[in-house]
Amino acid sequence: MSDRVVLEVEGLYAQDSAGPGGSSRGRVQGVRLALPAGVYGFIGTPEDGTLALCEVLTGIVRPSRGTVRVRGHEPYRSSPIRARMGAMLPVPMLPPASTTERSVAQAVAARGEPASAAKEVLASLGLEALARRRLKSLSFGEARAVELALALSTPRAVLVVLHEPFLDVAVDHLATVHERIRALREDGACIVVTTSSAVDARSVAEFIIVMHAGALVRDAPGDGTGLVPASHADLVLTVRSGLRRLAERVSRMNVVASLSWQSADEEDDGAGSLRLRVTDLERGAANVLAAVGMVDAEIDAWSTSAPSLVDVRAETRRLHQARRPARPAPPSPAPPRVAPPVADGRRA
Amino acid sequence: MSDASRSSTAVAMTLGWRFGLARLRHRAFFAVSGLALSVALVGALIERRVTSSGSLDRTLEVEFRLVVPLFVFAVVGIALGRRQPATLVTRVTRFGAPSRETTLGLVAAIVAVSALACGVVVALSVLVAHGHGGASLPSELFTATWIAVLTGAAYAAWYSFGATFFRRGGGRVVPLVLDFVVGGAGFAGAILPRGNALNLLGFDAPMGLAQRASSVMLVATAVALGVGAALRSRSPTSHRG
Repeated sequence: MSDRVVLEVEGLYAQDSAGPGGSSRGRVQGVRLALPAGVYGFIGTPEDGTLALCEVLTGIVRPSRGTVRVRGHEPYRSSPIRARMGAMLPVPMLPPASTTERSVAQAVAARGEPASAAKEVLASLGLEALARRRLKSLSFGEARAVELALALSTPRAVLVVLHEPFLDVAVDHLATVHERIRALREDGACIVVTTSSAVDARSVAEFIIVMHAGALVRDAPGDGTGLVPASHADLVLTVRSGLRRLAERVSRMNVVASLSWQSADEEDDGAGSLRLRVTDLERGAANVLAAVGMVDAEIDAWSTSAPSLVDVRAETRRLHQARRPARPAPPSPAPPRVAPPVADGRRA
Repeated sequence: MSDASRSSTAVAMTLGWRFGLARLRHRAFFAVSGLALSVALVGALIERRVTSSGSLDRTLEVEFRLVVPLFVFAVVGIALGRRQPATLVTRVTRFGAPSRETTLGLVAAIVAVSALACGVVVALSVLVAHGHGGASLPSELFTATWIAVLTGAAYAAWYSFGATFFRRGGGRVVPLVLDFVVGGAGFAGAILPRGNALNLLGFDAPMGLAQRASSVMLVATAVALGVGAALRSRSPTSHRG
């Protein structure tokens, strides 16, 4: 596995134009990165700079300050490196044409492939039905799907930047998207996924990087460990029978902070799903297993759920607070001087 | 230049050309063309009715002073929107097409369509406005049409080059204003389209230029400024707050 740096970012300042009237929704400030081949999930909202990062890495916009280099070349200056970069942008930007296939043909021609490759690009994600559709008739999700197909079919890709590749995209089988990302990774590409969903990041990334207010504030392994404390872990159980009995039993456990359930059928004590927030993941899992045996419930599956972005940001704030040096306490004010009373009760 | 580079350049220019045509295959372009044609024809009719003697000269003077510059300005505005050419062609250059060559293709399409549209408008005006006296209709038609084609091309190149300045391509207003204010005479008239077009039509010659020199100037500015617009389109601009 090569450790050669693919994407290098130094002192980057940039902003997007996704706000009303072309104003900025978010920006990146002073970002530094050196990424080899791999899949990286950047978690944050547009206000944290995910859109700006996406646009500037792909060469759509030039940085206000700092540099972005992909294999030593700046994307907004170098057309050969852009031809080896795939991008799924926040808002699709496809070449104008009468039909989808013609638009894709222009895109593949721009990156040096024959125009006939357009059909294969659309077929890679099962989008053949869109080929003859007028480009302007595509919905937002369909246009994103076409752009995703183009990004994932980039020949000899070195960098692929995908913004929310699993959200609002008209692809029937998202598993295909995961496979294509893995294939690109194996071919040595650096894949950057920007998303506000920790679930999506965890599903695909090898490393997760948290963005906050334009900066990269912390990172975590791809399974999301450490994004939030273990005391915020959620267990999700798919119960085949005995849902209510199990819920009653676990509700009495100290390790369970909260729970909710949803019945799948009309029977109150039948099948459904049970979601638990536990204060300690290992102890909670052991106790829940024991409870399943005690009430004779049957479960089909269980998993830990990815933390929400709200939880991740709360933990980020907590960590920042913990790192901030304690301010010295202000000096206590001197006590007021009060003259002692004289013998007859009047003050001197 | 290697074969691969030549091929890449040719592909990029073709993509830019198609991009420009796609931008102009738009309802707004046909509406503006219809409006320009209506204004030109109504003007021609009025001049013909006032007196048919000299009606063609008066019609052409009004069209080249007013209709052609504003019509081409509108066409360039429709093609580019409120963007610089380099920003507009990002839809193609993001996939690896070189920015300059793609912009050159885009500007070439804008210049070609503008020239052709002006030729059609003026030709139809000549058919309506031609009256008694003067040269024969075929001769007037041919002369006015090629002058309109050259002038339309020059205006389109000026506005496209101007659009490479200032955020959102606002610089294209500058040649329009200059052309109206100082473009009829003197040094400005010698380089801006207005003075050269009027010279070719037989009106005052800026700086005493020969008509042949005015033809060359219109062609040269169309080519040079078109290439200039491409050379200034090396990469997209950053967003500013």
